[in-house]
Formats: sequence, structure tokens, C-alpha cells
Amino acid sequence: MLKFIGLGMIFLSCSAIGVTAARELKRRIRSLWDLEEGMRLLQGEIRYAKATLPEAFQHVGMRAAPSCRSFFGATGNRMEQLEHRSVKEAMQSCAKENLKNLCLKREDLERLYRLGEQLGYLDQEMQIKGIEFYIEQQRTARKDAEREYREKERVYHCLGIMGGLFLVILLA
Amino acid sequence: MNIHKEFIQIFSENLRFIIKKMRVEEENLQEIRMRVEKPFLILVDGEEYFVTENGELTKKEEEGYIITKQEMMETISYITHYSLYAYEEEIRQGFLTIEGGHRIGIAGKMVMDGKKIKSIKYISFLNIRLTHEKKGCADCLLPYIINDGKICHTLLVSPPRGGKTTILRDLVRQLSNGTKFLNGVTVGVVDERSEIGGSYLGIPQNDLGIRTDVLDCCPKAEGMMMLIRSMSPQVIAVDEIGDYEDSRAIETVMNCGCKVIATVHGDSIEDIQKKPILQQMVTQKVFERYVILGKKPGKILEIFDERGTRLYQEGASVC
Repeated sequence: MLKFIGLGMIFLSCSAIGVTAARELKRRIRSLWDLEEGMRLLQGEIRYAKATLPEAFQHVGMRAAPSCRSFFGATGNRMEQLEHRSVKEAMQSCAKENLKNLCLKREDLERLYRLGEQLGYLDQEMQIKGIEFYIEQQRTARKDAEREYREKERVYHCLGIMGGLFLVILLA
Repeated sequence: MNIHKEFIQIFSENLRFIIKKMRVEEENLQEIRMRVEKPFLILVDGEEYFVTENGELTKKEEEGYIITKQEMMETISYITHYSLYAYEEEIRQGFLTIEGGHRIGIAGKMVMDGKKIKSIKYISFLNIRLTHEKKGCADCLLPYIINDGKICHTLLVSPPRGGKTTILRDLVRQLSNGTKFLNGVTVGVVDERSEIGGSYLGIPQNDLGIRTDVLDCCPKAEGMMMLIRSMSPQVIAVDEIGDYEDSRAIETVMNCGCKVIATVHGDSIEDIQKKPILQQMVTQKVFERYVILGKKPGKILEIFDERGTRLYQEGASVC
């Protein structure tokens, strides 16, 4: 009896691993989308209100998706306090503290920091173009993530179930 | 140095360290001058000093800390909160006002668009003028500009750094809040260069009183007319009048029954009469009081009425 319960648990665990792996792919899509949307708001703040970066980030921090509100808000506050030498430094420091709950890859964060390098440089047009370029890159990354999700969702589910079954058969 | 942390934060990291070590009180510090590859200079109580890398004040140029280009760029980045693009208009005018009402003058290579100034690039010179509120500095002046419970049209005449803006600011505050000579009145301030109110994000950083409305960064002539139309002030205060547009706007304001308190650059009545527009205003007895300030900040030398009768001379008992 105990053996069957154990085998059942192994099967369920393996299936759950497959489901979780697929869900992580979906979470990344959501995370990329949330950041993209936040940056679109930031672009609006700069384009239409000609807000300074601290102001713009703070305003976005009040309206962006809940998952990245704290990142935008904290970055705006840090910049207002002039705690960092550059926008990139402020973004890096706040991303480490406030984007932990997002499912982002290293390359996603690097893209964000590259935007930080450009922000504050030259005129308003340059800021808008810089954010536009980031949004474009983010969109491409999101599309790739969506394709990956479509391709791998079933694979991960199947692998989880099949792996579970394989172990059950092996141990039975 | 006893100075606000927020103010020190506008400087590059090296300069923050130096400024913190300086033994100067904030109320005595008038100006901070930064020039790329030139020594760090400050103006304290009208005296110029070089600042060493340890924050000591010296008269020896060679001991002064040399400002680097990197430090200048870092400071500009902090002054503009990493957002130089958001200050294009202010940069075009050559100055910007930061939190606390301090004014920062900017110079460098001008970028022209035809005959118009488009921007300044390679910003290499900064003049940071600290705003000083001297509450009560206009106390002695009030009995002279209030006659039978009515405010007189007043012109403050002073050489640069004579304290005309500081006195004007205190006059505005006192007239707005009310004094023992007069109940509070509605005051409109046209602050073309953000010097009177030192507004930051539209909010005056200096105390201008409870009944004061401020038009910040607005051309004087246009601003006076806007205030008359929109805020119905009883008194309008403007700094540094001088051109034909100003003179016309002042006349209109006066015809609307509103009192005007203005300032102008000059040493004496004779000096301002050398300027045609002001000469016309003096001849036409537009102003009822002329207050002549001395070179020492806030020192009142003479007060005249519109007929040229001296109401006060330095040394006489005023208060």
C-alpha cells in the first residue's frame, strides 16, 4: 500500500515539475509585458509632460502593473535623492531589490540596464527614441518567449508526465 | 558646513566632500563659482575665496581645488536630476532654479538656430547663487511706502548685489500677510527669473506671504496683464524693469487701480534717468516712492517721493 502511495507521489511530483516549467515560460511573457507597458507609460511622461526622469519614474510607479510598480517608484525616489552617479546605477540597484518577483532572464535585465545608460543623455527626442528602441527589443523578446511557450508548453507537460511514468515503472 | 543636505547633493562626489568640510555658514555664503580647469571659488559676505581640496578657504589661487570636466558633467547631471532634456527652456535662458530657490547660472558653447539661441552645449561655467530670505529686512521701509493706509507705487533702485530682490521679497511677504500699518492685501508677483519666489515645480520656495500669487518664469509685461485679468491683485511686484513693454504694462496696471512695486538697476535717481524709458517714468511721476539702496546688501541710502523730496537719508533714524 505504502509503495503505491510513494509511486503515486513520484508521478505527481514529476508532472508538477513539467507544469511548473511551462508556467515559468508563461510568467516570463507576463513579466516582459509588464515592463514593456511601464516603459510605454514612461515614454508618455517624457513626451507629453516633459517630466524629469525621477518624476516620470515616480508617476509610472503609481500606474504601472503591480508587479513592477515598486521598481519604477523606487528608481524615481533614488534618482530624486541623487543617490547614484547615473540612471543606470539607480536602475541596477532598484532592479535587484524590486524585480525579484518577475521572471526575467539575465539578458532581459541587461536590456533594461542598457536603456539606463541612454536615459538622461541629450534631448527629449533622444529619450523617446531610446525608450522606443527598448520597447521594440522587449516586444521581440516577448514574441520569442511566446513562441517558446507555444513550442515547449506541451513538451514540458508531456516530459513531466512521461518522466513520472518512467520512474513509476522502473520502481514498480 | 551647516548647509542643507539636499543642496550639497547637487555637487559631484568630490565637491560634496569639500563643501561639507568648508567652515562657512549657509547664510553667509552668497555664491559658488565653478569653472572647468579653474579653481573652485566661493563668495562669502562679499569676499571671494578659493577653496582647497580639504575645504579650507584661501586667498591663494594656486591652492584652490581645480574643477575637472568630469566633475562639471556630474554636477550638471545632479542639478538636472539626470534630465537635462527637461530643462531645455531654462538652459536657453541661461539659468535654472533648484529646490530651495537657489539659482544656477549656466554658460558654455551656445548652439544657435538661425539667430535664436537653441541650447548651450559644453556647459563649462556655473554660478550657483544661494537665495537668502532676510525676513524683516523691509521693516524700516514700510512706514515710507504706506501713506494714509495706502500703498505707494514704489521703485527700488540698487546696484547689482545691493539686495533689491531680497527687500522686494520681504515687502511682498509683509504686505501679503499684513503689518501693523496695513491689513494683508492680495499681491501678484511676476517672477520672470524665479528670483523673487525661487519657485521649484511651480511652488515658491521663499515665503511670499499667504495672499500672494506667483507667475513663475513669465515675461514681466505679459505677466502683469495676465495677473490683472486673472487674479485681481491689489499690488503687483516685479523685479528689474527696464524696457518699453514693461513701462506700458506698469501704466496699464496703475490705471486698473493696482499698486506697483518694482526694482531697477542703478545707483541713484540721476543714474536711472539716463535710461530714456525710466526718465520718462520719473518725469511723469509714475512712481510715488524711490528707494535708493547702497552697495552693501540691504542698506537703504535714500528715499524720495515723486516730487523729489527726500523723505529719508542714511544715518537718520528710521525705525
